[in-house]
Amino acid sequence: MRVSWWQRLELAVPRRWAILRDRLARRATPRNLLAAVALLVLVDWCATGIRAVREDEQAVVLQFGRVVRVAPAGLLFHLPWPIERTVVFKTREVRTMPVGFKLVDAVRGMPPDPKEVEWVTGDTNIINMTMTVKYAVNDPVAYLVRVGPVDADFLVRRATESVLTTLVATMPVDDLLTSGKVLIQEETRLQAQALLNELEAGLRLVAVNIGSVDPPATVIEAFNDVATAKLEKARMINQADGYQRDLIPRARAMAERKVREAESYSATTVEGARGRAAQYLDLLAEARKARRITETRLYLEALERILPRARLIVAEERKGNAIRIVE
Amino acid sequence: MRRIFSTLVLATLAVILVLSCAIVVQETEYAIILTFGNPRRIVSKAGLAWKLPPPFETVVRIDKRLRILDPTPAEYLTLDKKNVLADAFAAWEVADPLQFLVSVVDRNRAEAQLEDILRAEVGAELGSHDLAALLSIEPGRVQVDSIMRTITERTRVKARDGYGINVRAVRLKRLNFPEENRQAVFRRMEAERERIARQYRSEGEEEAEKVRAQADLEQARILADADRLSQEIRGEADAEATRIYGEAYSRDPEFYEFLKTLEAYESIIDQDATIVLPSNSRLLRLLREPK
Repeated sequence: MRVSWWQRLELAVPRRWAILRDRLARRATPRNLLAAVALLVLVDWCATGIRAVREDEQAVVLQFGRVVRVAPAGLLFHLPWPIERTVVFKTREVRTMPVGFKLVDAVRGMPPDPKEVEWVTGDTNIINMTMTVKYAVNDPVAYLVRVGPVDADFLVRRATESVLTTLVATMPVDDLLTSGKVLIQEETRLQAQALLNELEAGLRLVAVNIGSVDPPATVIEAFNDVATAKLEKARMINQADGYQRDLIPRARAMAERKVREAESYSATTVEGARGRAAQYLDLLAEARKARRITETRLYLEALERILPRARLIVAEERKGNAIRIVE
Repeated sequence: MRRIFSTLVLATLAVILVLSCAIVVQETEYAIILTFGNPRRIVSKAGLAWKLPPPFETVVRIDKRLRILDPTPAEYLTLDKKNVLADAFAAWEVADPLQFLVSVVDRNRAEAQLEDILRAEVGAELGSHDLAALLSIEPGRVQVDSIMRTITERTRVKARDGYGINVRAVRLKRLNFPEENRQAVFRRMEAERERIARQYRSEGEEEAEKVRAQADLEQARILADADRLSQEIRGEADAEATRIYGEAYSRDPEFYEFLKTLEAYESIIDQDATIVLPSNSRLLRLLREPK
């Protein structure tokens, strides 16, 4: 009879199992059982010394509370608890901290507390300024030993605030409202980082971002009016410029006209003179040929033109001074 | 069986004894070992340490991490009698755990003491500077850094001598004015802005007027130039004409005079003129004495 492989298995497994059970039963003395349990406990205990450290984490290994090493990402083996234990930090995690306002207020849409949002500038103005600070754990050991998770936020916030207070106290309000923002961000980050380094906090400021800089609500209108006045000034100057741009070309055109007129007068006068002089000289030349004749002709021609216009009275000289008038 | 049991009991007792003798000191703390309540020695290095089991020796742990003391802001008077609301904080840590334990026991009480020192020092230091040392736009005038360093130094000395506390840094967290001064600041800011706005407007007028006046001036100059030029041209033309006439007429002044006289007659004598001619005049001679 052919026996398929599973039939063989069906037969074999119970048989094997029975054999195993018998062997175990023979060896299951109280002593062996105890040893087995002990072994299990031992293995389990040793397993507390194994853990995986993820890519974005670092693990600090503590031996009876003392820092012995920092383990990078990967599988970590250390002595089992309670001899050694690990504290894991997410070193790439960037945390955000508000300065000048509370996140709770921002979420609820409430205006920030004046005490938090107001800063005094170098020219004794008050401005409202908010910013956010991003930071990360830089040195896990220092962070663990010096600060601890509870105080870190607080420390970062205080450090940033103190630097900002000092910086703002040297700046005029107009700078802060305009170009000074960017400068202040970087300067604040650098100085606050210096303070954190001085305190050996193991924290790294990733960025300081100014959210808003505004004049306080009570004076904002006055500030807006200054902006309006600035625009008005530019407008006035523009208008005057327009006036100038209109006026000068017109004046030049008029000047051009005057000069051209003078030139045309000049041409007329000079050419006229030349003409008349030429005419005269012609006449003279003619007159020289027959002076008396010409003069008489001209005289009579003139009289022809003149006499018809005027009233002519011919006075006859008689004795006794009686005058007969002939018209 | 009984032997095993007694072995187990003994082992357990031994473990308990060992555990009560061992102390694990964390990196974040000092351990002070007390003999019947009296401080005997300090374990400042983290790790495993040994002591006698209680009640012979007990242990007190003191946190050695950095702490921030952040009291509420307080009003201070500067040297020039200005009220300011200064908000300073101090970063501190335990320097001498034994003295700390003896004098202030725990961190809360320590902070209460430190706060008193801090306020006194801040008050004293701010009181010896003008407001301009805190707030000024003049370069080099603001001395907040050096003021805070002085305060840090003095606070450090007092806290260390008195309470075993090391003050790492005192910084000015915020500066503002008390409420009534704050309102005055707002009023001043408003006035200042009004002034600036007015200034912009009158500057605008000024510059616009300047530009306009300049334009008017330029216009006048251009026209005057043109006038002068045209007068010159006309004058030259007249001179030229005169010269031409003169040259022509001077060839025969008599003839010129004769012609000019005739022309003069023509323009003098018009419709209203009456000419009285004697009958023996040359013109009429032919009328009387025909040949």
